[in-house]
Amino acid sequence: MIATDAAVHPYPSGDSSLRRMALAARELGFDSMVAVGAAAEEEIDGVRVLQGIVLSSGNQREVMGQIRKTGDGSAVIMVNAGDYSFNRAVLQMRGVHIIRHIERTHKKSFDHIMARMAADRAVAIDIDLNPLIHSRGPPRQKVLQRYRDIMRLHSRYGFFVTISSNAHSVLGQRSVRDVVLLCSLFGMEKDQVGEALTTLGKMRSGRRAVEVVP
Amino acid sequence: MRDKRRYVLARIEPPWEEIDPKELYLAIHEAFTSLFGDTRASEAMVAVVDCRDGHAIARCTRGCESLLQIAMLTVHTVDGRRVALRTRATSGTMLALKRRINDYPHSCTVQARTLEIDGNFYYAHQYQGQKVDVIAKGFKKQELLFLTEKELEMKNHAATGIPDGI
Repeated sequence: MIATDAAVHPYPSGDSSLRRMALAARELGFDSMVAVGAAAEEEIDGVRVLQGIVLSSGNQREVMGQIRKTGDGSAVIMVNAGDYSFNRAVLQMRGVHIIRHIERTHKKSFDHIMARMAADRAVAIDIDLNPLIHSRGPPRQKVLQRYRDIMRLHSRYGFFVTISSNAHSVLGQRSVRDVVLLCSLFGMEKDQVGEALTTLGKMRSGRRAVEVVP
Repeated sequence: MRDKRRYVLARIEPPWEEIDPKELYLAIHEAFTSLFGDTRASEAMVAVVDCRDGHAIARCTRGCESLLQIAMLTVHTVDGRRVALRTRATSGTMLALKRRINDYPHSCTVQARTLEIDGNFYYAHQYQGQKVDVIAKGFKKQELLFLTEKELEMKNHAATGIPDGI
């Protein structure tokens, strides 16, 4: 996987069908995407569509229970960030691939200790482009500030970073070139963007490498 | 002295939306000012010089073209209508970009038709081969769905998972 959009929301949560979003992703330079709510992993028009599950409960036990219910582990499990203790607990859970919406939480909810834990446990932190496109003024300034902080921690501790359009429509999807431009707003270099877009591919190939085949 | 200028070509999505150049200018200018402030906006001297066939050409001073491209990426509504601007090319002359628009005439060809699904009528715009944008006209609001030809062909519409046809 060369470039993966880490979260899109096809119909019914969005207004575009899965096939149409895959078509748009291919035109925009992506070869894979994580579709939240997709039934299974499949290939559509040359785009690998991964099944994505978003866990938005702020309760640790509920999240653990939901992870157990998700089955064989082929789905990409994303957990919405919460307060400091919740995020720390999530980082210690098995099966979590991505923590998202860090920008919506308090500034101290993700610090250098968590950054080190994320790096050790190979949990990625998601950069959501949706608020950069859709919000204006102080909310967007706060998001840019948080992403700058995340990138500072990333360059120091080297945890995985993913980039998602978090699009609910084909109109919300952006091309790889556009992603580079948008990420330059918070000081992310082109190489770092390229690396972040390949993160899911690396995580999945790494996970497969330790599978024991009889 | 006249400043050196740069022109940015963007594709408007969906291409069947008829966008007023003035409204597009206001949307781009608002996005630019919101992101980079009044000072940079005054330096960039953003303008929309052409808007037709699903494409728009915006102008700025040399050195501000990447800022203009970023600002165009953050435009999501023009005059209350949802659109996306996909930047395609940057050039020092308008002529070069107009040639590029003419190089892709197939992308702008939109076929409008009416569809009947489960007894209900819908407006559909088909373009680029398999893309179909379906507008379900309701009493209170217009619902817009982005589908593909394959999904419409399926009798039971199981691929989209859309109940009652659409």
